[in-house]
Amino acid sequence: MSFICDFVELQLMVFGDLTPTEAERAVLNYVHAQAESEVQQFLKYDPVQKSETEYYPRLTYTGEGSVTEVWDVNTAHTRAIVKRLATSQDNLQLERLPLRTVSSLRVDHSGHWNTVSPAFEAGDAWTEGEDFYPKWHRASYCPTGIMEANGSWPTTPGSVQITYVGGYSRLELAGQAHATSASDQDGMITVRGVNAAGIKRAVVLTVMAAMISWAQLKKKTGTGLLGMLESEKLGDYSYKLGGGGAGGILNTLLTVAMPPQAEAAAEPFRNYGMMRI
Amino acid sequence: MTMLVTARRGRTSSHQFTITDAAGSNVSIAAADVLRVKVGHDLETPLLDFDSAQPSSNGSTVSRANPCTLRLDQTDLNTLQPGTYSIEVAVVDNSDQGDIKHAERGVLTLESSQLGDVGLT
Repeated sequence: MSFICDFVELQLMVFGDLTPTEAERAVLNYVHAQAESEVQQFLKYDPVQKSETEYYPRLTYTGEGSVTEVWDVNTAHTRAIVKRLATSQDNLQLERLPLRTVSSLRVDHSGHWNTVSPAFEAGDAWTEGEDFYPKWHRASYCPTGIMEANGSWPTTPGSVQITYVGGYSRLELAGQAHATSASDQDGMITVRGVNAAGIKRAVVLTVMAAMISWAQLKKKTGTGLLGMLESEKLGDYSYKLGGGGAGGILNTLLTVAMPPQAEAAAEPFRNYGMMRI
Repeated sequence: MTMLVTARRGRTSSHQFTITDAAGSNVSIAAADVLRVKVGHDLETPLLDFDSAQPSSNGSTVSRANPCTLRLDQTDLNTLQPGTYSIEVAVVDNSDQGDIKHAERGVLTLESSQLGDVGLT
């Protein structure tokens, strides 16, 4: 797995040219992993570009009998709603955005997420441009991840097997996609002008908020708080913490959560088609 | 101080740094040891990867000494897009089973530069 942010980028943002202590480095490593997870949870997918094989449709059945319903979100993005589908659907929403290339797509109504054998054989292959049409905004860039079927997609869960490249390249996450390339310096697909820097900014803001909170807690005094300051000395400055220690602070008081600015930065990239209720 | 290296794309640059142990003393680099430099991103194949025994194909080098000199060749730097990279220096210790030991990791900031003629004429 690749990270949205390199550790050294975060180290630079938090500590500048100072050398962190071992404790500070340990906390930053912990916070980094948590922040990446928080942003991925918020987006509802892993935004780092990679090729994966996935199975669709992913329908949540809320009704009985032959009624097919799926969770969705209203246009204001304020309420989960249940949509009742007809017996067919023309559009398929992929999980990882944006869609870059489709390597293989096979439809097997008895495929059952490839848990049976045989399943998804060569004869089940669909052809792009004939059987399905990704809604490309530009070559190698379908930000919605939506593909239209020539006809309709099956409604049986796990009957579509697709191997595709989805996600942003490292250059796009850095806001440095200055040239289009099918295989850039990192071996990724980059499209000029695609800017996903908001996602990286969300991780950085989340890390900064957590580290500032930790730094403040580290020296907080008062009753009932672990790791509180016992003493401070000004000449050749030093301080002593209570017996609760940093471990107590990490386990009970340090929370890593996306601040509002991070959510605002990541919101345009969120996959609302993947509500998980 | 954290290792901070700033270079310009397409421009050869040299940097000197010192490897110290936890006590702050200079580490002795033996004749059979190797200093290795990696530039890239965590958990991915390095974009630059060379050592004191084998320079990069474009001539980036690191001297087997301490303080050591890191030379980043313009052709190598031209293969990278401007941005922030992880740079790692490690010591392959011949006296300890050839184990590679972390020395320092820092930030390589690659700035943009103008294109065009870069020759002597």
